[in-house]
Amino acid sequence: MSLLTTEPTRAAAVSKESPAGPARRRRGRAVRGQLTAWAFLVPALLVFGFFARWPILRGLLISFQRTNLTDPPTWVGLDNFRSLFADPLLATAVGNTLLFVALAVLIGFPAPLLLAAVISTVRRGAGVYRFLVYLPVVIPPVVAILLWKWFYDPGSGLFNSALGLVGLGPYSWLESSGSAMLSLVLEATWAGMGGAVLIYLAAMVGIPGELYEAAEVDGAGVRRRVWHVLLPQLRSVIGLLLLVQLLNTVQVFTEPYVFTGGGPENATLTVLLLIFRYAFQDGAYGQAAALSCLMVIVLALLSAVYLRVTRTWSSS
Amino acid sequence: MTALTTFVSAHDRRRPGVRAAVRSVHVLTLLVLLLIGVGPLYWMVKGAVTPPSELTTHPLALWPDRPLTGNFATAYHDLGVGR
Repeated sequence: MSLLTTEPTRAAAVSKESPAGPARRRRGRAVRGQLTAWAFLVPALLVFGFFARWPILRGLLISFQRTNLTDPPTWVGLDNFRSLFADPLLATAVGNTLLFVALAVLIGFPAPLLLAAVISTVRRGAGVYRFLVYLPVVIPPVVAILLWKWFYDPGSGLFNSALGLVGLGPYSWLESSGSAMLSLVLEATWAGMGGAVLIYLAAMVGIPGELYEAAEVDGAGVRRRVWHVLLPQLRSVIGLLLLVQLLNTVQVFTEPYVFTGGGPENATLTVLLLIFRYAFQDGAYGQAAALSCLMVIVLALLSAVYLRVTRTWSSS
Repeated sequence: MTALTTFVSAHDRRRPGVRAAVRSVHVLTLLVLLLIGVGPLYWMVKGAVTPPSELTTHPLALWPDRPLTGNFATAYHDLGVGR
């Protein structure tokens, strides 16, 4: 903000033609530049304030209120937080979310790196590989999830029918509490892989070929070139994508909501789904807002790490 | 893309063992990518033109015996997608 407002004054001072002009005129121009800047800034500030900042503040306020959004709210202090921590479902939801994050990192994190490494060695037709790998990303999330729900169907689903041909199964993918979360992660990995692969590929193009040549001259085989050149060169991108993935998977909502609705036996109930249930099934807006505030703290911490880490990388 | 220097060098590629390994990994990856990239999209289209009874009796059929095209018109007019 301060950057935006000081920018026009400096520009006005620089563009001044006569170097020995009176100071008063210079100041007048600077003030006029300031006014112009504010005139351009005010509509954006109003729109952002009303549609982005006010709802955040409102969410914080509601977490200390009891309200049904129509009658005037009553202030209840920390009651919402107290009833939140008294709810045994909170621990379940946090545990499930952590399980989703862990599985998504375990399965969904190495897969794009491996694919990108393979695709980077393709000489002819690499465009075909890139096209195919990005194809799942263009399918709208809800459509993709409904499609996979049909694949997972225990009776006539694609997976059980295909596995039945080789004598395996039938598996209850989404119906048993043991495998439901894994089924969600498989779909999420498939749906989200394309973007990460393209980012890794772009980073791999940026690695100077001389490094590989030098390593080869020194007698390093393919495996050691991957370990000592490729991975160290990608270090910053790998860390960045890991943080982005953490930020995204902590907020998982669409998959459990569309696939299972949180079942079976709350095995896929995530934190965001619990917030949704509080607000739109129980009508407990205060409790939903309270949990949202706690969620914001976690996300803010992750974002702070992200910002700090990217800043040190960009300066080095 | 021009010949980018990667962790598999031009010198490596001239060795028959490495060449065969690289080639087979590429083909395998292409097959997997076709399966997971085009496969679900194709299955979506197939599902859109398959009568529900056939979906349950022949779930693995690549194309229905009696394809329906009416579903698209139903979606457009009755469900109001076009509006």
